[in-house]
Formats: sequence, structure tokens, C-alpha cells
Amino acid sequence: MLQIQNLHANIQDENGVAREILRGIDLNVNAGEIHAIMGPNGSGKSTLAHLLAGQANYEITAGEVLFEGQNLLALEPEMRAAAGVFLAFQYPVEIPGVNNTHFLRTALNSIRKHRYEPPLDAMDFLTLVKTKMQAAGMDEKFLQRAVNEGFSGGEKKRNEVLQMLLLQPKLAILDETDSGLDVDALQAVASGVNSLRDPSRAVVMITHYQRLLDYIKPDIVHILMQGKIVKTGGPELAHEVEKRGYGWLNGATA
Amino acid sequence: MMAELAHHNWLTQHWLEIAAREFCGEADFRRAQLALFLKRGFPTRHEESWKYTDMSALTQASFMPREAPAHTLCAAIQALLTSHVLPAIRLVFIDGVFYADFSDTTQLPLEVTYCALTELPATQLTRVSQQVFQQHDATRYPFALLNAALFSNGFFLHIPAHCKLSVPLHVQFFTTQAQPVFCALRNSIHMDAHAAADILIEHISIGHTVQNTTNDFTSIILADHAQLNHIRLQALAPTASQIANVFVEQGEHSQFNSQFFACGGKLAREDVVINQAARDAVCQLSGLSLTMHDGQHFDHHVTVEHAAAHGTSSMRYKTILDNKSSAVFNGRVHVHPRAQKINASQASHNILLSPSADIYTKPELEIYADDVKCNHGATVGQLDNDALFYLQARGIPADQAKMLLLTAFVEEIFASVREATLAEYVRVAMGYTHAS
Ligand SMILES: Nc1ncnc2c1ncn2[C@@H]1O[C@H](COP(=O)(O)OP(=O)(O)O)[C@@H](O)[C@H]1O
Ligand SMILES: [Mg+2]
Repeated sequence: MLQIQNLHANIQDENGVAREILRGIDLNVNAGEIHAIMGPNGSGKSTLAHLLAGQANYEITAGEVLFEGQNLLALEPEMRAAAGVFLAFQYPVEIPGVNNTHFLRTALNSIRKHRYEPPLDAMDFLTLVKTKMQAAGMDEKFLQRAVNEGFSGGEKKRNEVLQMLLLQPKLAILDETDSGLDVDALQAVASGVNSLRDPSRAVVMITHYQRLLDYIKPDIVHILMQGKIVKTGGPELAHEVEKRGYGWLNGATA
Repeated sequence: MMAELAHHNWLTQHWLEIAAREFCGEADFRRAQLALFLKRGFPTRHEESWKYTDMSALTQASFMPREAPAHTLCAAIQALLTSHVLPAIRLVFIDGVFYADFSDTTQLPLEVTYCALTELPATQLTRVSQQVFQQHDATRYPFALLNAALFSNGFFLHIPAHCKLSVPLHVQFFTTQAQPVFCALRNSIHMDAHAAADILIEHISIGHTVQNTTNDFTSIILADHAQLNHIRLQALAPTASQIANVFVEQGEHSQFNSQFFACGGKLAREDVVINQAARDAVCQLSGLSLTMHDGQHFDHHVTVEHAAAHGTSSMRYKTILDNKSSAVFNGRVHVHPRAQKINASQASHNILLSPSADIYTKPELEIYADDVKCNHGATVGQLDNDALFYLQARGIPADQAKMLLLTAFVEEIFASVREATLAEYVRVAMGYTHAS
């Protein structure tokens, strides 16, 4: 489904100096698989996630990304979403003045349009969104609020899960959706992800902690350090990292 | 005076035309105003309040006589009026000429007096045109002087005490001229004690190459406890221009709620002056300007004179600028000595969609009383790129995502229009249909 080959990307710092953040990423995700990416702070996990979703702040200096055989990097962010790529943001953006319901419906109908499905009217949408909110453990009062505005950390994450459940992506990338969550919220996130589990979909979870992986069992675990995947293994790799930290991996190769 | 006039070709011509008309019972007044204008001269960019707005093109312009609007245009206006009407009392002017046939005053209460200014008896006309004028330093507003000399028409509205209009009044000034034409309009709204009304004054062009230059002047007198919701909509063709003055006199406990909307025109300048000479007056002003075209320039100057105690004023103005357009917002609050317990606030928020657009926003607070609450704030920014990316990442196309963010930015201004049908009308005219 997703094939990343030798991906290099730079970012310009405040002084306009280019810094290489991704330094040759190789990653293959097949339909039906759940991958976990772990790694210390600043190793480039969010950069990779944003880049896949279409954030334009990065300069790609080498490599390619194929999604279902097509060149993902050539697509605008909205076309990637329409193709079935979804990023649950580590830091969801607050958008004052944009009503959450209106936003969710506009997003869903934009994607339905690409699938040649008719738009949902306000009533049908409301019925649908309420069932999904229940699954995400979200109070209906959040429908009236502005997108993420004044939401607590946990509420923002649940709103991300809600969007994922509504849009039913083929590839869901979750960027630390588990950080800062209590057990209840963690379970809601996990059950949301597990409900998407299906032979035609794939999930990439970026996380710091083994904790989430107790709820969602990954097939494959990658360790990202300094812009490179330094080790790939099974679920036991996550346990090992939990015990030993990342230090022992320095200089290791995948 | 004629010697000075001779330097200004089009002015001379216009003055002679006006002077030849029969309705000039107020000729002395006009002559005096023209003399004041000539003495003062056209404003130049050396003057502080004209620093960013260049009127030199107007000095050198050559205007043609007005032609009767083409049949096709009249038909277009008529079609517009039948398809796109507000449930309102309607007064229609085309290129400064009153069209009774296109107007609809059936819902106007009998006790309300309205007419085209040209129909007023000369003595009354003189009185009406001078009323507000004496309160202000005339040389500060050159185009108000010019208007007093050159006006050819406008509307007069008098709402007697305790009369409340149950439907809005919609005054439409259409412009249609394909060659440069100058027209000065003078409007007068007079509301007696406890009267109430919603009024939308719209300037709109029919056709894309309309070349009218309109010099518009509106005086508004609100007696004690009168309440006016006043909305102005400027939706001219990108080739038309407007220079407007709005002078407001507020009585005790009167309320002036006003929203200015502007999305058209090549050059548009407004000077709004609100004089609170009586206590407990309230004015709430807001505005939204959209400048989109290269060379388009809007300039909005608004002054509140707090000359009596317990007055309240608020200004809330927003501008969105694109391409090589520019805009000025200048909000002045002047609290006179002895005008205690004043509450004044001012906010100016602006979004630049293009790096070549320019906004000049400036608060001017002159406070000579000590018991005053006054605050102001101004922001100039771009569209939030993170928010834009977030929306796009959810499948919303870039254009639509931008529109969502812009709608969020402007919505509170539309929401400040109290009458729902007018709010909707203005939303559509400005290109922002209501978010569902
Ligand atoms: N917008 C940015 N400007 C400058 N540096 C950035 C920006 N975004 C990320 N970085 C830098 O890139 C590196 C990787 O960051 P990130 O991808 O957020 O790491 P992670 O998600 O693994 O913690 C860090 O050193 C970070 O400081
Ligand atoms: Mg991160």
C-alpha cells in the first residue's frame, strides 16, 4: 500500500539554513498491517507523518513515496486525503470561528465527492456523527464548538479519532495520539483504531510508549533515530525499547 | 470665484450646470460652500488624513455629461429588482436620478415623509442641507463642501416621534455610465424622539466598466432615544469610484448601529463623523472591506466625537486584501473635556492574502477627560497556514479551506447586522453565503 524509498527531506530553520531531518527512510506498509514507529524526541517522526500528509514546509531532496502505486508526493494534501491517507495530528490545530459540525461535514462530503458518493445532508450527517462520537467517547456538546478551540489535550485527540472514524481512511497515520491520555481515552483511541482494522486498510502508529501497543497489537515495529529507521522487528522490539531505552540502538542498522 | 473655478475644468462645467437648474433656491448656500472649497482646495497627500490616498486623478479628470441609461441596463436593473428583492421599502436612483417606477413605498407608514431631495421646497432644502453641517469643521471634509455646492439629488427621510419602521428601508443607488461621469448625492435622514428604523444604503454598479465617480453625503440626525440600524454596502464596479461623507448627530440615549461593507470600486473613501453632543448616546460601528484587484484602494476614516458624558462607542473593522490592493483604516476617538464616563473601544483586524497588498491602520485617541474607559487593538496577519493545512489534510480543497477560514474571520461583522434579511442580503453581496 505504502512504499517509501530512500526518502531525504530538509527543513529550513529560522536563519534560512537547510537542515536534513529525514536521512534516507525506507518503509513498506502492506494492506492489513499495523505498524508502530518509535523513537526519541526530535528523531523525525512527526516530520515523516506531516510529509506524508502533504505539509509543504519540507524540501524533499531524494527518494520517492508510492501510495497504491501512485506518486504520493505529487498530490495536494486534499487529494491525499481523498486517496485515503489520514493523519491524526500530534498537535491538532485550533480553528476559531469554524464550527466543528460544519467542518466535519465539509470534510466528509469533500471525500465522498471523490468517491463519487452523494453528499450527506445535515440530518443524515448528524445521525452518523453521533454514532461515531459515541465510539470515540466524545460528548455531543463538542459539535457546537469551534474546531479544537479550547479543547483539552485529550478532547483534541478524541476529535482526531472521530475524524478518522468518519472519513474511514485506507491508511491511518497516528502521531502520538496516545500521549497525555488517561486510560479511558486510551481505550477509546484503541477501540477506534481496532475498529478500522481490516484486510484492506493499514495503520501506522507513532508512539513513545509501549502502553498503546498493549491495546493495539502491531505487526511490525520500527525504530526511527536521527532521521533513519535503525531497526525493524516484531512487537517484542517495543518491549525491549521500553526496558532498555534507545541508547543501545545507536549505530545499529535495520 | 469664477477665476479660481477656471482652473478646474470639470468643476466649472458642473457648477454652471447646477446653477442653471431651477431647484436652486439654496443658491447662496451652494455658492458659499463652493467658495470655501475653492479656498481650501482639493486634498493632497501632504495632509495627514490624506497621506495614503491620492486624489490627484480627480483634480485632473474630465467628466462627461450623464447619458440616459441604456434600455438593456434598465431592463437588467428591473430584472434584478424583481428577482432579488428584500421585503423592504425601496427607493431607487440610477446615476443620481430618482426612479419612482422602480421604487416601492407601499409599506412606508403615512406619517413618514420621504422624497427625492429635488422635490423638497427650496427653503426646507436649504435648512436640511445645512443642519448637520454647522457642527463640523468644514474644511476638514473637503468633499462635504464640494457636495454641498454640487449635489444634484439624493433622498430625504423624516421619521416622526415614536414611529418605528417595521420593514427595512432599502435605498439603492445604481451606477451605469460607461464614460466618466461625476455625480454628487446628498441624503438626509431625520429621526425624531423614540423613532426606530433599519436602513440599508447600497451603491451598486450594473456592468463591469462603469466609470461613475460618486460624491455621496449623508447627514443623519437622531433625536433623543431614536434608534437607527444603518448599513452601507458599496458594491461598485472595479472601475467606479466613490467619495463619501456620513455625518451623524446623536441625541440623548440615541443609538446608532452602523455596519459598512465594501467590496467594489477602484477608489473608495469614506469619512464618517459621529457627534455625541448629548449624554448617554451609544454608537456601535463595524465594517468589512474586501480589496481584491490590483490598484484598488479603500480608505475609511471614522471619528467619534464624545462631547457629552456617559457616551459609548465601539468600532470593529476588518479588511481582507489581495493582490496589489491597499486600504486605510483610521479610527479616531475624541473625548472632550467634561465628557466623563465614556466607554470607547476600537479594533482593527486585517488579513493580507498577498505579499503585495498594503494596509495602513491607525488608531487616534485624543482624550481630554479623566474618567474614561478606552481600549484599542489592531492586528495585521496572514491566513493561518497550519489551519489551512489541517483542513486540506481532511480532504477540503484549498480554495474551500481558505473560504472557511475567511468566513470565520468575517462572520462576526455580518452577525452584527441586526435585521436578519439585511444580514443575509449583505452576505450574498459580499460573496459570503451563510455557513450552514
Ligand atoms: N518547522 C520546523 N522548523 C525547524 N525545525 C523543525 C521544524 N519541525 C521540526 N523541526 C526539527 O526537526 C527535527 C525532527 O522533529 P520532529 O519530526 O517533530 O521529531 P519527533 O516527532 O520525532 O519528535 C527536530 O530537531 C525539530 O527541531
Ligand atoms: Mg512528534
